[in-house]
Amino acid sequence: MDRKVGICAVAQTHFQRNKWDQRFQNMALEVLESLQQQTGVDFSEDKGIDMSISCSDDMFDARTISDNGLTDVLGGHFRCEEKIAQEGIQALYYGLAAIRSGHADVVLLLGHCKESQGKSRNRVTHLAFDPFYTRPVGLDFCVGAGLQAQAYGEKSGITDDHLAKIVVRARKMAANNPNQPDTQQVTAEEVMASAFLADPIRTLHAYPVSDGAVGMILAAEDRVREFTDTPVWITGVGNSMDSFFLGDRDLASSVALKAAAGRAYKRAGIRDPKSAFDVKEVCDQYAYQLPMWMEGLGLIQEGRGARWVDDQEWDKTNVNISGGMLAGNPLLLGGFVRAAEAALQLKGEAGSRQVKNARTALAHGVMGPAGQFHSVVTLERD
Amino acid sequence: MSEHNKNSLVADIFGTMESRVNPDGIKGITANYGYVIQGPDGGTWTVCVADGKVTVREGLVDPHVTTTCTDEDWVAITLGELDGMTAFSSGKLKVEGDMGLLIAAARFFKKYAAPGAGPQETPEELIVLKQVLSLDQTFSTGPVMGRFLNALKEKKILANKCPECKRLQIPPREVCAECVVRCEEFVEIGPEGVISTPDVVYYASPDPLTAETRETPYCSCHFLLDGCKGHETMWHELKASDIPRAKRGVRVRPVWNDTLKGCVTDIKYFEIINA
Repeated sequence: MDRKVGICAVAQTHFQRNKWDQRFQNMALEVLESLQQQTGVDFSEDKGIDMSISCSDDMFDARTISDNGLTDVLGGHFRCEEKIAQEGIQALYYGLAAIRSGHADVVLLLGHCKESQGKSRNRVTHLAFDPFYTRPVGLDFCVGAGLQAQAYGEKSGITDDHLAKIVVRARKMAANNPNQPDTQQVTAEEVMASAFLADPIRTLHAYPVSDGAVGMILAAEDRVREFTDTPVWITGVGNSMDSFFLGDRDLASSVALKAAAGRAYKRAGIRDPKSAFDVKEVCDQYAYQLPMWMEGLGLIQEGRGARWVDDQEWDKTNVNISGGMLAGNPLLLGGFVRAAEAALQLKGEAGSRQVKNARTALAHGVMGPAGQFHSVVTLERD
Repeated sequence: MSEHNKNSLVADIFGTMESRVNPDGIKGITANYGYVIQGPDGGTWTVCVADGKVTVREGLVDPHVTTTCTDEDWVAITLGELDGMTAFSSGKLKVEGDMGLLIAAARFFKKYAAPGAGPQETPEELIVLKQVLSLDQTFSTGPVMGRFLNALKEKKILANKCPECKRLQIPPREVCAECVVRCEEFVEIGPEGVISTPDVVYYASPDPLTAETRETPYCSCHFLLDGCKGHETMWHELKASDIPRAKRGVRVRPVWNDTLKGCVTDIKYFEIINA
């Protein structure tokens, strides 16, 4: 890298089932003000934020060009304002590129989502499908995940029992995370008694509906100390997009995730991902995804997902200490919050969920039906 | 009125309609479509659609909707050389009556081929899918927009003031976009003011969430309410009957709906105050 890019600060709202008393501008402003307070950064032309990158979704916000509702809060007026419409973790990639290219020194990233605004988030993701072939036959992200869970379950031996263990553990970890919405403890029996959404996915296997916002300040290596004493360096990034049409894909294998992870590891000079990270934050929208993505990321041996759940190795290897997406965070922000949580760990600011001496971390984000798009970020502190 | 040039293309278009009916296109339609075609080849016809049948009659027979245009333009529209909507919006084609009926009329007939034009190549008819996008939404208003909307219920219009540059924002927003600071001071403005920029709009976009639409034409207006200056304008509508007098600087006042719900349409429109 020509010049390294550091995360100076992260901030997030409490993610709640329904922030009925706030519109998304209010949530975003809370995050921006926290970032400014932590770093002292402002919007001055020579020393301040050069570029604002927001992450939002037109359908969730029920308006096209959804960043238009946010440019004032983002400090975007008469300045460089950008939007990404994928998983928010993409904003790290975008900000990294802007800084490494020399076009910007200090970049604000800010994502928001109000899943509660629509009567049903499944109706929103239904709209992600084309109106001709797939929408009329009832596909949405949850239905797509059901198909993938069937395929992966058959291949890996993951059962209803395994899925229940994953949910119970996610809630247990979330109890230490004041930002997560679903901290209520559940038993395996309760999980296995919850209603089916799309077999084998049950209600409690799905990430909760929530509202909230998350943000970061990134800065170039030579400027980073103006804003923080504990920068977290982005050492690698990798993306990969699989086919939109589920029928084209091998749903049981994480082809795109392997490619995304491979690119990130190569850029970071990582040879053995299993031993490379002190902290791993994986975007598990549905319970089956945790072991599946762990395999795809190369963090456990391929085909060993069920054993890994049985052995409950997740605590000692620090996987989803935050509770993961299963215990919180709306679509769009799952991976972005994973990166924020990983950065908090490396900054030593993770409170009661802090992992001792964490120096390296991996964060993963996923978007689209059945893991169509994956993004992997590797982080390190001095 | 029915002294047609019997050999004209226009007469042939109407004369061949009954044989060109597209049964799917007229399904469920009962209406009389009047046509006043002007020019040397013109005349008047009525296309009567009922019970899955089409009868073309000369003259105007109780039309529900009447289309008026020149003979040349009618031939061009029929042959597909001139788009009907374009002809309408450019004023070449005029419509009286229930305009909504005309949308279905585009599918009533199979393609017209002028006499002697030779065998027509009929391309495969490609399917067009008609769908309505609907999303059930509940929007939070938050403490800033919420306060503005609540004030409307008391027939008050609020702006908020930037603590740094002192400008007013109407409607109020969380921060001053130029200074990037919170704006927490609210001031009441108006309710009277002057027209700042008026504009007349001749079509309406239905709300994508409710499908509600509005009368046209309507006057989209920027108003500078009393207590405001420069660009501190508020967007709303001017009463349609005031459109001829819509000019910069004319004084206006809001007209409120009987039931106030806390939405921007609690103000029905602004109207010009007669001197």
